[in-house]
Amino acid sequence: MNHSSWQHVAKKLFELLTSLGFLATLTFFLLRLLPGGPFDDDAALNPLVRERLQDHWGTSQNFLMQVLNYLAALVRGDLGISMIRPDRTVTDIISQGLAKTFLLNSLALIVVVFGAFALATGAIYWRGTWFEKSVDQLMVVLLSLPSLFWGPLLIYLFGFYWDILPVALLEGPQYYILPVLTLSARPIASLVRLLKGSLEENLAQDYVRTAKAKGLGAGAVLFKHILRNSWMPFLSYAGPLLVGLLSGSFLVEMLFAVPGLGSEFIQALNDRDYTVIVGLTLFYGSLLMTANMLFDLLMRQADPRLREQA
Amino acid sequence: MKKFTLAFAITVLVVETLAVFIFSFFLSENGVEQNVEAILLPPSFSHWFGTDSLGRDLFARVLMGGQVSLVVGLVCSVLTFLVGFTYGALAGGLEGWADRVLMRLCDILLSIPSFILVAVLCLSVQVVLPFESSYWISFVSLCVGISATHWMTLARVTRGMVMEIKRRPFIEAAVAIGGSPSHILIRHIAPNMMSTLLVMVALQIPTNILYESFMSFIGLGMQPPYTSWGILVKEGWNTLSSYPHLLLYPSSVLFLTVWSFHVVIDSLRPTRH
Repeated sequence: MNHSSWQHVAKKLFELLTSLGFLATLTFFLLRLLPGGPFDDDAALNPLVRERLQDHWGTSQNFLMQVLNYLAALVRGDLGISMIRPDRTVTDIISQGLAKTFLLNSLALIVVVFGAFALATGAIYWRGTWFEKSVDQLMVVLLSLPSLFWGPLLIYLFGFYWDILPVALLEGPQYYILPVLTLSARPIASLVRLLKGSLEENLAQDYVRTAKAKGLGAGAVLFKHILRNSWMPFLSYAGPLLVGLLSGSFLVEMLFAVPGLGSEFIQALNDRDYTVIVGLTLFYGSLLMTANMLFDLLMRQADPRLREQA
Repeated sequence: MKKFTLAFAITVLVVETLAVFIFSFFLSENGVEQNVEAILLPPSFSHWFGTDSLGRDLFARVLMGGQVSLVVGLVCSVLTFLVGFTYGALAGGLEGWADRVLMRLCDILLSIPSFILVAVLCLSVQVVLPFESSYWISFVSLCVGISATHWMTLARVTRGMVMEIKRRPFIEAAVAIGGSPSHILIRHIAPNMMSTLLVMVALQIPTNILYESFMSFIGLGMQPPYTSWGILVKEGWNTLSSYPHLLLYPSSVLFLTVWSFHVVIDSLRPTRH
């Protein structure tokens, strides 16, 4: 790490902070500007009580004060209290749901990465055979597999029809099989396509011809030379892959009744629980922005050409 | 094999479009009329997809739901294209600090799971809309929610291509003979990138259809008694263990549609080999 690298890290950190500030303000405004508040449904509410409630939650102040108060609390790491279930803070909700969501998504990520590498290298190794063709066809199917079809189908077949796997609540290792299968179907397809494209591009490079010319077998060329050079597109795709997984995880958590962040978010949406919605949006946003920044730095470390460009 | 798959996918889309937009009007009565003597029937010759818990014919309801799902898919891609193209062309045309600010905003939006964006926006728009009928509230909020959150990739690609094309000599010539920026953009730059952009826009259609069904499924999209594929899947989900046909038929149609779109669009892509 030389001077310019540190400068780059500082620049990235600054960008991250401004983006987070922007995201916090935006989500806050979007939700608070809406007519219809969390106390509107309580028709029998005494006006005095309503006023007290609004004072308590700070919703009677003007917008600017609300935003400033909110940002100040954020800096202290305080995301507020759930408006519908006031016995829980948003931080509690996040820390309780995070473990399940994290485990589910990490398992899916592992399946996706290993599966995609195996399928893509296999398809390249057996180019032009039935194997490559069926991988291509299968990926189109997986890419268009809606989790609303795939998830319930798996649940019906394995949970009800054959009755061999549990379908809800994630209480043991075997509980993870179906949700992970549902979650990884689409991401694996896009990753296989990306990797295959990158492998094919590398196949036409001069160094591959050199490697073949010096007498290496097809396997050695593929694994020792091409595969190592095909890592970069994967690193640049890691951010979007993570976003895609977490995005799919909302529906999967709902289908499989996983007590995780995704279910909490959907619950909060239906309850109009502003503080939870804003808190979770911010949490997901900052998690993924930080991950993106790390991937970017990692890529610069891995590929010197990127450092010279900047 | 490839030709056969493509022909099959095209046939699916054509037949489906005809059925959803023309044939369904002859069947709409079966899809709305409740019949207590024929509830939860399994698929048979008189009810191809069976009947639901109110005795409505599921096949007719799938066709009716398709109207909403397909129209949302199409309308949202057009909107996505308009927003993404304008935004990207603006960034690519202006360059400098304006470009940096616009692209930063793009990056921020891209790093939030699109599910969150669509859901929060749908919710916001739903509450603000002044319409009387819940049908239009759901429809418009879905369109806004989906298309306002999927234009970023298109904007990025447009920006890159505008920047690249505007440095070519024929653009210089167009500037020299006094063409206005908008004229140059639409008559000279746009035709050179349409083929790439149109494939991206077309790929957006199946994604939009999926988002419509997600949102309706979690209760933020269409609301009963109106129907869409998402609503049908949701209704089937509640009775999955006892009456799987209520879920499997609508969701298979959803899958088949999305798959056909992917196959057809894939064949439009320039091949790499």
